[in-house]
Amino acid sequence: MTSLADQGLSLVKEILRCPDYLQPMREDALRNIFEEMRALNEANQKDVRLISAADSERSDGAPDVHVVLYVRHQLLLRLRRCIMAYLDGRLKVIREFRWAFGPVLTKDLKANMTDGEQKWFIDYSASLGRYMSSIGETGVDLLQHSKPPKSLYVEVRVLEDYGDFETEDGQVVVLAKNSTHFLERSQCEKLIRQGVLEHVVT
Amino acid sequence: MHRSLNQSSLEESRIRRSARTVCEFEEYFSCDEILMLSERTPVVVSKEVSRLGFLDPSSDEENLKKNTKLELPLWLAKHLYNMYCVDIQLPEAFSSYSVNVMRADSSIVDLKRLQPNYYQVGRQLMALLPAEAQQISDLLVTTYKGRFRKIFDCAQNADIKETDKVTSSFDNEERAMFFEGQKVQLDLQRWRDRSQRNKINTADLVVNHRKRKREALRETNSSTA
Amino acid sequence: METQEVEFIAENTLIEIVPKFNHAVIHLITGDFGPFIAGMPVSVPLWAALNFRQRQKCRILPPAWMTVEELEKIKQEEKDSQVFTRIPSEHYREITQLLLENATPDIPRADEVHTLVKDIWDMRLAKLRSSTDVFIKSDEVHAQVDHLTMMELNTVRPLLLTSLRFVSRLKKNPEEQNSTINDSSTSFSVSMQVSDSEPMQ
Repeated sequence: MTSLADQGLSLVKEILRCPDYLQPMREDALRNIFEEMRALNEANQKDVRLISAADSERSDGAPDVHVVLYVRHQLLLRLRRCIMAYLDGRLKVIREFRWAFGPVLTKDLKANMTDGEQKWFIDYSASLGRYMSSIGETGVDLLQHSKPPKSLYVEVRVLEDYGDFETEDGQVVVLAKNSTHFLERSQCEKLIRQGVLEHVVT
Repeated sequence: MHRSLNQSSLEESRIRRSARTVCEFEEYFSCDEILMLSERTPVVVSKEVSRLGFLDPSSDEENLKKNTKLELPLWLAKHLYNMYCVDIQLPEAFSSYSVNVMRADSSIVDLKRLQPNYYQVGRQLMALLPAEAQQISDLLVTTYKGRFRKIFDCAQNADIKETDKVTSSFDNEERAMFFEGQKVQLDLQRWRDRSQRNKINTADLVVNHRKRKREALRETNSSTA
Repeated sequence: METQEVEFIAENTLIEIVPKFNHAVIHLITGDFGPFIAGMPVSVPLWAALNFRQRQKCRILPPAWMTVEELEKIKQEEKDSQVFTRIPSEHYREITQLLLENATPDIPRADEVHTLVKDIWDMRLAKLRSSTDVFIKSDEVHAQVDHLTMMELNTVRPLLLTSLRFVSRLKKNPEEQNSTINDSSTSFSVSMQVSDSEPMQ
């Protein structure tokens, strides 16, 4: 108890330190905190048993523990809050991944995500997709047109090998690294945002 | 009904407890708020509390003695205040001496060194010290009004390399406001720059992610070499 | 709002061009434009004018206020007045920027025009900074400022609104907000009227 929720605080500090990327999940810290919470809970149960035992004997010699009980309980709530904020902070980063990287998780993105978080990403992605297709008659792609468009076509340079890219009119363009192409803005904007292409401004 | 606990004090605190439930949180998931609530604040123990002696690092007693002076994290101080176990003391940063300093010219004070969560801690203290609440509120408002111009002017002269130097005396809330103002200025600057104006940019998250990947790769390469 | 969005809105302004081609009336969503007869001035939205200019299909006629003499007059008025003066165009900054970038040969004394517009902008922003400072220092919750343009408002909006909300939170005792635990539900609105009315005599 002397640490007074320091372990929980270290988790919160990690979230504040890295607001835009995922560190590996701190399983060890979480285990320690759960252990601490279990110990606190046991101590509280013990004291409650003492009180009710003394109560049933109707004696006056029962320990005055209600403040300690309250403090331990508040410490439990505090630790829970730290853990919740930690998990929520991680989910916020994962949510940003969907908007920046698109619906597919690459290996390096998945690297520090737990199974539960990966499932959350898939569910969120599906939910976002459902919402986007429900707007208007044919749906609206919210990830398109992040800025007002200036021209119909843009010149782009390929930054990493992507392979074949099929345009809306059926043409297939091979996006090999360092090649340049002249494509319709609405179709390649997402790839630019994801860092596959680079917009070349003359 | 007989209770084996000290009946009269229980009755007393039950009646008075209804008047003391300090607001627990404003935003549950906010990491900034959690961190702020761990700041230490000076308190005086107002009655002997059994089994809480461990809170006082200088004592070996099992019980916390009345009139002990110690520093507790705000979140714990709040709850002990609810139980009528402690009285909160006004920290130096909010004393009447500070009031005079802030009234004179608050813009020159190094708030980061004085108390990096000045406004938030101040607001917490307003609830814990109802007698001084108005004074603290006035102090916070005076301080901010004196510093607003400086924050605004700094934000409008957006030189991103100087950010740390410029915000070195700002408290955390002021820093957040500065970044908001600076964001608009950077946007305006980018708009003025012909080569940047119409460019669609890669998302910031992606850029940072790539940078980190490259650095990690460089590290593993140099360690295996 | 972002700067590019304000610029997008500014591009709807009508501007006169002298086309180098002939074409019938064009029917756009915003309205009908034309007919285009080579050599005859016609009014089109700025975005269309810029598009034609980039393809060398027209010459742009700068708006009446975009001359060195007019701008110097505006600058002097702005300097002499304590409040904001009425600028002939709601989007003076954006239009100047766009025209100078894409149609420099069509603007006489382009460099001087650029400097003057920049000076006017700097002057107005300095006034805006002072008046927001006075506003924060006072205890008012309502301020009326006339003749501010969209771009200028856009520059100060985030910081000003955050500051005002902040001050209002500092004044309230947290216990008064106990009934609504989540503080962000208290709404705080700042009304800043940008009106085209004449300043009061």
